[in-house]
Amino acid sequence: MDNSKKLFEGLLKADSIDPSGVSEAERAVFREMLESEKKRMKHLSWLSVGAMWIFAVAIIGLCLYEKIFEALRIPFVVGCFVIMAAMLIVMIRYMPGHNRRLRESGRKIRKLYYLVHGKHRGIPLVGKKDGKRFIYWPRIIMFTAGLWLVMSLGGAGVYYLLCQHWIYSSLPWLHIIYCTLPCLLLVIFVLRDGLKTPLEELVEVKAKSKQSKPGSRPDIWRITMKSRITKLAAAAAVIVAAVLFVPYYFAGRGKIATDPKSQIAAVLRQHGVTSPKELLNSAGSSLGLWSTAHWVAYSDVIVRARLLEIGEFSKWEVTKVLYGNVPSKVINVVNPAPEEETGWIAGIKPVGAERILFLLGDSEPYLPRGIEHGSRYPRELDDVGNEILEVIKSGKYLEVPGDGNSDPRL
Amino acid sequence: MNSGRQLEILVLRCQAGDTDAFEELFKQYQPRLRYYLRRMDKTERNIDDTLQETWLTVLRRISKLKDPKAFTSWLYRIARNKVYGRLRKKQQFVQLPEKELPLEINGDEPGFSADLAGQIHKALDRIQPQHREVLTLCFLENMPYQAIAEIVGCSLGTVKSRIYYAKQSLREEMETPNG
Repeated sequence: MDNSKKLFEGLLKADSIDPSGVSEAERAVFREMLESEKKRMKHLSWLSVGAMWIFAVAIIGLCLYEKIFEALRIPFVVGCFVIMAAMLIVMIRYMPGHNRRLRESGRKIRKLYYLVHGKHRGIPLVGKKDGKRFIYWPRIIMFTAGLWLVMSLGGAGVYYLLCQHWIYSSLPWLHIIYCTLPCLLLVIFVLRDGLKTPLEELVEVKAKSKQSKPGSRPDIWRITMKSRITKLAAAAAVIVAAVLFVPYYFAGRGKIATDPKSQIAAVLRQHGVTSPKELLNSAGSSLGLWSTAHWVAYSDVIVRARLLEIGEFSKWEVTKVLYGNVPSKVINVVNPAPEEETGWIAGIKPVGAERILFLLGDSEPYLPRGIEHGSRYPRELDDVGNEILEVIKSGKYLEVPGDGNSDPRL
Repeated sequence: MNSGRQLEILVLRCQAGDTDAFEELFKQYQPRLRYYLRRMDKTERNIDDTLQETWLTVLRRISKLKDPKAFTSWLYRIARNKVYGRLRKKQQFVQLPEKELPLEINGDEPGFSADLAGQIHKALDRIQPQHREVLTLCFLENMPYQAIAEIVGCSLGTVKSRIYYAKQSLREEMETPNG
């Protein structure tokens, strides 16, 4: 024990103070004070509570106005997300004190983890090397890609739960924006934070001493990637590739097929215009779902595409519907019909989807999934019809010679 | 692990809301703080209240402390402000007798006897308050000059000169036969 410490302890004792610690009574008082402070800290300020109540009431009001509790409406949900995002942005932008506190608190926790465990928490994107800042570009690329993937899968999962179909098939652009924008923003913020962190708090980059052999050729990759612009360009290329690939993979993989039947099948799958119908016997008991049949309509022509459960195309029919009569002509794909029997397809004119759906439904309008009686028919059905017609017209066994305006059968 | 780093960890733990860390900090600083406050307020009135107020402020504001290493000077600064605040409105307080709990001083331990400690206290009591304060912080708390300057709220040069004159005053008081 050094002299100054001895002196101090001696003085404390002479002053009736125990230098080794505190009495149990003092400790009890302090604990009580600590408990009451912890309870006090749990209470939010009246400003925050008020703002939260206003927001909650506004959301409930909107829910009631939009009848969200009766039928989940996607535009409304998207609108809510946009409002929440806007509020967050406003909070971050216009509440610098709050933002600073959050950042400093995070930094303190990271520092504590480092002091206790001797290593850094999380994935450091900026480190120091030879007393200079060093950006871990491979980590940034991996981090961005990983984050994009997580957001993409997570967002798509939530969307599927809400809408019962994948976002890639209907709103790929929204999905790309949703995933890419926050992802890039987050990476930029993390990077900016790392670049502003004091040098002594950064992780030391472990130098991988790769002894270059004398006379060996310089690594082209290293030379190329030395430039910051090249690195940025590479990161951007990877991100763009990921952004383009995922929606294409999920939404348009059916389009990779080149033959008409695969294209029709892809269109059917993509738009989900299917209607499994239940068959009943004469006694009224169910014979099961006719799940292998997929129906698609366009104009006053009905295309019935029958798909096997494994997704293979078995046969399809092109039918002219006239005032409820459904004379159909089955065309075997394997052995296509003669051209003169299908030439009239080129001349068909589009009519409203509503009529087609009515015609398809025999006694009552055919309703695809998610469409209720009395509600507006989606315009997407017209798009489905257009796409299928294009596919049919482009099929080599359905090409129409001449004008092809007349149906030889009618 | 050195004491500076230990203190830093302790303060960071407190900032993260660790109750045990708060208790550890209290245990470590309470005696020293009490001693400092007694030197600051010679009347020794309401020392317990001042201490409690100091710790309450620490609990409420520790999350705002930017540099955990500066905790000691920050704590003493709070205590100093509290005691000065109390001294300013001294007449509003009613003096309560404080319980004195005499502690046994281990006679076997070489160094400083109770008599010597008593002499130092008496001498400290006689010198100027600002000299007493810097001496307490510098020699008893082993604080660097810069930290003392932050606590007492004056420049580094002032602290140095105060310590110089404080040492002279203390020496004179110790050497005085009736002291």
